Amino acid sequence: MFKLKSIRTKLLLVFLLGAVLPFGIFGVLNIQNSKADLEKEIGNKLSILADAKEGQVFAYLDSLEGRTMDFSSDGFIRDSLKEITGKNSQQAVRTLNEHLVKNKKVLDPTLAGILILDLKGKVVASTDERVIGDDESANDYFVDGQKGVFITEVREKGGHFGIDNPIVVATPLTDMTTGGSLGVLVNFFDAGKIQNILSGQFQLEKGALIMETGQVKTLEVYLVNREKKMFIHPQRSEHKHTSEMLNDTAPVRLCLENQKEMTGKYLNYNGEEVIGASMCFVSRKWVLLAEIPIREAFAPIVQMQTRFGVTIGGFGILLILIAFFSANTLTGPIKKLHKATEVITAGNLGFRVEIKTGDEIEQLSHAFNEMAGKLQESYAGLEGKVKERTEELAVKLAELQKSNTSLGSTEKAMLNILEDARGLEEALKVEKAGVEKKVEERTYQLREEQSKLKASIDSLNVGFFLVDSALEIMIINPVAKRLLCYSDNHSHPVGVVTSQDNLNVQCQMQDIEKELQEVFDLRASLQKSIAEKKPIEIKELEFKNRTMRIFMSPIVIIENIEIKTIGAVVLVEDITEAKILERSKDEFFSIASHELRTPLTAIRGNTALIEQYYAKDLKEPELKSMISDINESAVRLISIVNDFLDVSRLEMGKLEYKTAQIDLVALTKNTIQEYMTTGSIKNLYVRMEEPKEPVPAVFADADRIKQVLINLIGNAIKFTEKGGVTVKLENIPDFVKISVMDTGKGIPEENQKLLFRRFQQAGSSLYTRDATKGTGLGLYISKMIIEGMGGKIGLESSDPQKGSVFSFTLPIKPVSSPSTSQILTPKIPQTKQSTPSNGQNLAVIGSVR
Amino acid sequence: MTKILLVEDDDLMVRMYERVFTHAGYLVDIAKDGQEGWGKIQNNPPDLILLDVMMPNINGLELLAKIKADQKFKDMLVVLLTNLGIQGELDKAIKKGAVQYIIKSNHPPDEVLEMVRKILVDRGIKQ
Repeated sequence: MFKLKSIRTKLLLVFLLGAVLPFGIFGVLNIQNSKADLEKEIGNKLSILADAKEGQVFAYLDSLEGRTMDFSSDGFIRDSLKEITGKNSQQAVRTLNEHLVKNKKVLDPTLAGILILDLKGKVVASTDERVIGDDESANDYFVDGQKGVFITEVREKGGHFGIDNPIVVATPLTDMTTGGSLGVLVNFFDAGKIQNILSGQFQLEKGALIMETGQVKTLEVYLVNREKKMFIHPQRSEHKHTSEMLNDTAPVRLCLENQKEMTGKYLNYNGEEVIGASMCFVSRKWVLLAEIPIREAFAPIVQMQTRFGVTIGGFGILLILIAFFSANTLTGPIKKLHKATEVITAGNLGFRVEIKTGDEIEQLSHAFNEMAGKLQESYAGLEGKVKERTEELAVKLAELQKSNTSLGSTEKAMLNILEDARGLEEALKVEKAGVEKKVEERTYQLREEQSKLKASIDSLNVGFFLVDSALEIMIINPVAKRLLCYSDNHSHPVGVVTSQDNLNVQCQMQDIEKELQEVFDLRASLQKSIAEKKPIEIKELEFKNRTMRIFMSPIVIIENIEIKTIGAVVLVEDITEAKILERSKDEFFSIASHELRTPLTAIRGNTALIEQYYAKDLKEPELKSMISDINESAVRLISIVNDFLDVSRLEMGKLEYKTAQIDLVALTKNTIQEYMTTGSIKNLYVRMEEPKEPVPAVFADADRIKQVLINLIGNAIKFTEKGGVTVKLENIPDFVKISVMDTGKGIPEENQKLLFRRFQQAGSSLYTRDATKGTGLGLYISKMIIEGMGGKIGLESSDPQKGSVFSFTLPIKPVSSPSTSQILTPKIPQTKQSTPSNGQNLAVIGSVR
Repeated sequence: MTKILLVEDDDLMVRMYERVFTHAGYLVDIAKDGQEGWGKIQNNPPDLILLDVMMPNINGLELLAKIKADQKFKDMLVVLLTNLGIQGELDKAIKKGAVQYIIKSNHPPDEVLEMVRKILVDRGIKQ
């Protein structure tokens, strides 16, 4: 309940420290102050009292002195003494004694006795006869009494005259007439009066003191003599301490040694602590002390202290109680929160704490509730997820169980199958025997086939080898071996297999590759061909001073609808001779055309120059006309030579096209322009129809297009009498179509199919009669050119009334050929051999099914 | 006067073109083969060379290569005059440094003149 580190304790400590401590400190200080003040005050009062007492004592002593001096002036006593000492009269003694007793002693009740001493110190008279004759010479009162009045206290018990500690006053007695010393008078007074003094008005003082301080019982006022012995104490009889008591206390010492008085705290004759004040009778060496024990002096303080202590205590307890209870107001809500966490930890996420203290703890409670809310949410979410998962798992488990059962059934089925299999095995054995026999037969047949095939392949006059999909050679014929596998001078004509051919030479793919490696990557091409399922042709491959033509084609099987390659076939042809032939043909034509052209150029040129320089000399019309005819002939011949050259090159496939992006519209316009200025157009129009939509650029050779256009326009003009020629450009997908329309008589149907042929042999009379200036090669050349550029040309329509329309197309995009030959090869209709296009020459084995 | 060197072995052609260019106001020098041509180029460099391809000893293409290989003459204007029809070769010649090739038979003399004049004007040589 009282944990060291609880808020309660802390609160408590704070309260106590905060409230009690300062209060306590303050209180204590206050008390200390009060003590000091009280001490001072009591001291003062005591001092005053002592002072007063001292005064009184002094007064009393003065009165005693007075009394004694008074006695000493008594004549009778003096005369009597003179007589006694002189005559030693006993009568006188008696009379004096009587006088003393009757007349003197009665004057003062405190006077216990009188002694008359002679100059020797002998008692000659006294109030007590018994002491007459005693020797008092030793006593200081005798000695000092001779000089003058002298007071002293005598410490004796039951001594002179039966009293204790008398006050003795002595005075000299002198002769009345002579003034000489006669003796000493000594009065013995009872100390009782002083006691009364010290105590008599004491009651009053006491009362005064009481009035002020309450209860003062133990105020002591007393006298101490030079021997530091208490000799007058008001309560001597009751007092435990007798005159034997040594009073060696601070004030006594101070007075006797230093003749000083003091007020303050000190230890008294009993060793008790007292507050006291001292008065010092310097000459008599008496010390008057007024003392109150501290205990009693400070009684009020003590009371105050006690009261204070009680108050503080009570306050403290009150604070503790307050702390206790106020702590509750703090710890209460905190405990609530704590409990709330426990509840929530236990699982009740919906629990919310309610705290309405209005302070930070309430804020904390709000935050706590929020947190609990969030926790609840996520928990719920989690729970949801867990639920989902659990469900999923349950489903999966169900599925697993299902599969498990199905597995069981599968196992059974498998066992059944095994049994069946065993039965089958037996049956198979029987079958096998039968089959083996059949296979044997079959194999024999196949071997036959194979031999035939091999013989055929071996007899080919071109190199042939077959590779599988791993590019390993399966079959290779001797010609291939000879051409590819080993280097020798190849002195034999191509195509002739001689017995000298080493048919047993091993020739693997790597051997061929090695041989070819500098000029041709055989493997790469084979792989490409197989991968793309397309044949590849290498038209010319220079290899060891021979020119080869290589043709490879993938071997393909059709499985269901899938086309698979299982290898490739490669043909190798030594075309060196053919090439040489071709080259020489080419050379022939080049040289021939060159030789023909040179003189023709001279004829044409010179006639032109004649017309130019010597125009004035050609005034004669006939002369002029003849020169003109010579020129014209030369031009015509040049044209024929050009055509021959073109045809030969085109047919050999040697024509190169300088293809570029051509703006057909501009080209057409230009061509028409040129034609109009240089060609003869009779009185016909030649114009271009503006295209309806923008015509894209075509990919072609500008000069050749021009050639074709000129050819077509020329033909149109030739066979048109009136009207004219219109050229039209149109867009068609991927191409541009150029149409040349004339308003001529049209072309008869039987001639139409002969149009694009060489020389157009079966010409109709219409053509020949019109004295064609052309060679008859024009359309043929145009066809080859257009087809070589990837387009098409043809007669679109012909009508005797309307005229003819020839048209050709040119591609917009560059044409890429399916083979990897570098030169675009046009089709040569004469030869049966056709170059492969679009995979039509694939060696197809057929369907497997 | 603008100097033209005509390197041509055929007399017919020589006479004709000399005629043409002289009438047009050019100073025409003749070389009958590649060797002679090279000598003339070195001794008396012309403004433009009309170069026939088919010639004995050093043919036109060889001479062209020689001219272009020489630091002094590599910017020389060379026009190939030919009656050969080997297109590929002629295109190569342009790449090898000839300014143009003209197929003689295809152009009357005044056309040839015009083509040459244009080439000279382009180079900045006035007649």
